[in-house]
Amino acid sequence: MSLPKRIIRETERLVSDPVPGITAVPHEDNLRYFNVTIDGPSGSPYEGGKFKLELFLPDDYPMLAPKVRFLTKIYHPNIDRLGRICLDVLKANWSPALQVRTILLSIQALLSSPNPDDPLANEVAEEWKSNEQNAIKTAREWTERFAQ
Amino acid sequence: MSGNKREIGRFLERHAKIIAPLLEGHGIDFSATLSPISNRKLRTGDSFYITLDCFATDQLFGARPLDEKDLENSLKTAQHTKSTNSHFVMDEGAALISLFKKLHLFSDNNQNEEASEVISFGESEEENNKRLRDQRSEENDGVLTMNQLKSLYQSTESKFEDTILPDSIPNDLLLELRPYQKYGLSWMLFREQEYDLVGLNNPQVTDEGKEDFKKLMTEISGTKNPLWKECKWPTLSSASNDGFCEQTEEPFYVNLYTGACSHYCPMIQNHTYGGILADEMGLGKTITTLALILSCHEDKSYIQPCRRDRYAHKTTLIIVPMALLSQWESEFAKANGNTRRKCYIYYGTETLGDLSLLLCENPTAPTVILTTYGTVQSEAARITKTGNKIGLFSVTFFRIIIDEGHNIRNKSAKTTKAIHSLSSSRKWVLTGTPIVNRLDDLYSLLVFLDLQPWAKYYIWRRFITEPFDQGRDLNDAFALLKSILDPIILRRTKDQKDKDGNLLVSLPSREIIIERLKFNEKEEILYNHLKAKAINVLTENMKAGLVLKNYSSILTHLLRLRQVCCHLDLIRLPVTDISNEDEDLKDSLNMMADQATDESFRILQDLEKEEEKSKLSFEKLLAMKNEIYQSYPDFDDVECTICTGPIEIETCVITECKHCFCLGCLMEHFNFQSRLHTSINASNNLIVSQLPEVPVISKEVFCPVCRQSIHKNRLFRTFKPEFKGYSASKTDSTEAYLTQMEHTHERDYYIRPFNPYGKSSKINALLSHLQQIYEENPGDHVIVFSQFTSFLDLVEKELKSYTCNFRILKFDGRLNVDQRQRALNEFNTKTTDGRITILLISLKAGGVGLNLTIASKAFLLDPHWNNATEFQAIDRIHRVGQSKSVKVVRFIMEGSIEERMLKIQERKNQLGEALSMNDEERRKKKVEEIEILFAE
Repeated sequence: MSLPKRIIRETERLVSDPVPGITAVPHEDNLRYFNVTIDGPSGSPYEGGKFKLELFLPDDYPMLAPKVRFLTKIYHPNIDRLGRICLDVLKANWSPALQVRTILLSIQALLSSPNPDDPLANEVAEEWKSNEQNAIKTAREWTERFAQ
Repeated sequence: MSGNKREIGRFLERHAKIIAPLLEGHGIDFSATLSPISNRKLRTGDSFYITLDCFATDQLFGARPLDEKDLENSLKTAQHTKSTNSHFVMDEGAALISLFKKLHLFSDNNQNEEASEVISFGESEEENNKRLRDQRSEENDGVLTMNQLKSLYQSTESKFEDTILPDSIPNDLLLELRPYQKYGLSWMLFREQEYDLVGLNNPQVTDEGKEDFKKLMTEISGTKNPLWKECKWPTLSSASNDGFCEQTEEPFYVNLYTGACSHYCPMIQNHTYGGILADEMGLGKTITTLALILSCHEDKSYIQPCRRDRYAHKTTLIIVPMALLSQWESEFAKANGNTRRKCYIYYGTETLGDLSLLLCENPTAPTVILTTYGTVQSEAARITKTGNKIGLFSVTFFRIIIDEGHNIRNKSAKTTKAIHSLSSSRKWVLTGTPIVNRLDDLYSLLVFLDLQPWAKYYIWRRFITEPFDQGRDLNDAFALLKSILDPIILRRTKDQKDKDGNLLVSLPSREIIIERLKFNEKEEILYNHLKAKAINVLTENMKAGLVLKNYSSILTHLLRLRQVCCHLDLIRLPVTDISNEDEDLKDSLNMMADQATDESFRILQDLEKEEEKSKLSFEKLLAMKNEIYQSYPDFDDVECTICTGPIEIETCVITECKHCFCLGCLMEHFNFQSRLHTSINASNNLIVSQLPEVPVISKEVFCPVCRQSIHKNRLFRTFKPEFKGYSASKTDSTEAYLTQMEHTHERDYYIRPFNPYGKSSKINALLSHLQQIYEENPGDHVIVFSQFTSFLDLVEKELKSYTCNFRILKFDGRLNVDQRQRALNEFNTKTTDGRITILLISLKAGGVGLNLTIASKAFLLDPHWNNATEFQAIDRIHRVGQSKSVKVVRFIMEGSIEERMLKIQERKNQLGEALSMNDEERRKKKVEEIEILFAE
């Protein structure tokens, strides 16, 4: 199957005009598969960390959202042990007007503002709600341990 | 048994039966030697051996005429013997054959057995039948398959490869012939016994050479008489070789019916001038034929032209399908280099009357008269009424050529009978498919050629049809068929190689793509409704065992389904309008099924009402338009957020929330969203027959940009102002009005409400293909095929209203000759402004013969029951003269009857069914096909 023009255009723009703190590089042998890194946003417990993710554009993209997953271990109420992300724009709120760029920005924003009320990793969310200080500390420790 | 006038013993009865009649005759001499079993003296009642030597005498090989009459006479004899033959008395011939059988003289091993089948004296009828049955069950694979047909073709293909007919190069032909065409011309001249002309103008051919190949060709141009079998003389035992008989290796031949014997291989020479030129499509049968006409345009042996003879000795009559009339005319004009040779079109008002004035005794008689099958048939009909021989039937032509000769394959059709009763001294059949469905197709061609004795139906039946039908004596029948055809048929195929190993014709590559399309919601609802109806009717009929009785009613249902696959509006037309286009239904129209149509019509109306309701009100429309004009002063820099590309005015749609998208992108969004919904609600839709009375088509879909709810019926489309191709029909009156108003504004676009279901899925797909072709290859030529002329009308309308970048032409059965020619002429001119030219052709009117190589792209909008018909259509552009690679797209609606039709096509290709089936099997097959069509 040939690559839709849209994917080519998006990839070109990701390379020529990258989002600060985010890189996305397509695989050589599968241009629908991207290696992504997101820098932990400053002011968040993830600051200083470099998080690796994988992103895949399914055949039905852009009618269907891209599939994104954290490869780096991260302590976050909306990201589970397997790196799966709970984010509305990746699920029900996906719209073909969104792009890889906007999705990655949303994920970056999710790191800045965790949402323990809509959790994916329940234990993390509990900790976040009951003892936020401790949770943030753990998140920082994990960032130092895994995201360097 | 008497010897020396004294009875010494008796033969067993079964031996006596054979020998007794032979003793009466003079064909065989007997000499008997007695050898006792023991040394003691013989007594009455003892058994003993008798060695009986049989000697064939010269009288056995009496001078019998070995011509085609022999076949008829023999068959009559056989009939006679069958009825009168008692178990005890044989006539001499039968006895002789039995004797030969006993002695194993028939050269082939299994010949004995076959011979016993052919003649059934000795055994009782019952026994014989049982034997036949046994044999049939063993020979299950004996039916003539497609492969056998192919090998039949192949053998006729290769036949002349090695023979050394020289090429001919005609004088008056302006066109250059390809080598194989030159060869074809030589062969045709040979078949007409114009030996002096073979090798015409070819410097390499000497008179001696001509004599040689003449001899050679005559040798192989006969058919071995199938009634005769080859026999070998037995080796003489030393005891009987007492010097007065000769030992010979030469075989001799025995007639299995009369017992006649011959030293020479009995051949049936055919005295037909002409034959079948069966070159595959695109090899230039027309050119070769014109070369023949120009090389040999008159009967030279006819010395004193006289009107009373009514012999149009200078005129060749060419009968062609109506669609090809003008093409032949122009081909003739192109090829003809001699101004004295004229071509006269005999068609329409220019018909009837006595042609002998024009054609006989007239030094300037036209060389060619072109006419159509229809003309011949209608003249024949008039003759039956009046009894006067008029028009084409008033003279004997020098030569008659029928193009697309398989048109007369049905021997009892009126047209066929009319063609058969035309007279001429030479006859030719041009066809790419000498066998369309069954072997009897060939028979009708042989009758036309008057190839005796095979043109007698009882002979053809006995030796060809019956063996193939019953699957017995297959190999013999096959060999016979081949030997009948070999001399009179010339067939070359495109992938055949010449002696240097090059392909006869190298055509550019051809790509055929099946594009599967999805129904839109409206189409799907209607399709499912009609399908449920059809299944109901079928199940009822199946239960009652009336499938075949109500076959036409079922076909009507199928037709309706096929129509919905093309365009919903087609079901608004009464079935009678449509059925004219569908051969299957022509004769057996059933109006009962139209009740179902009324119902679907009501559903369609309900859907449309619903659609109307969901549309924006007139006031709202006006307001929206103004808002949009304000938001978008122009369309520079507007990007579609779905494909991230710039938006073209021609393909832009605007939502209620005033966001712009490419039409295709937004429709994909709609479809994807509704598919998501359907898969969630799938359980509700499983049972088609429980459709809601007024089905709801739309599910909620949101704008990709602002997530407001959007609706297909509330979109706008933009158009370029200079485009005026759109003609407002009565339903669009408000739209037309709105458009009018906006022309006063200075703007580079204007907008109109979008009608999402206005076009069928197929037309949409076609449009996007055509748009792409226009962008990539401006000025290109495209052909579009459909079986439904009413669909082509709709396509024409839609294409015209879509853009002015298409030049649209139409070619169907409703056009007369002039109109057809005009359409083709226009198609063959190039546009200067980059517009692409699109020829809409009805499969039936334009599927055969036409040469449209200016186009290299074709679309087949709907599948035909017969795959070959589609390929013939494709060959309109994929043929000699095509320089570009050919691309063909076949549209198939996903999950619809059309997919099932593809399956049936496959099945037909595998079975080669028609060749081997009898009526019973054919009926069974029909039911099976219907079952395939509705299988879940």
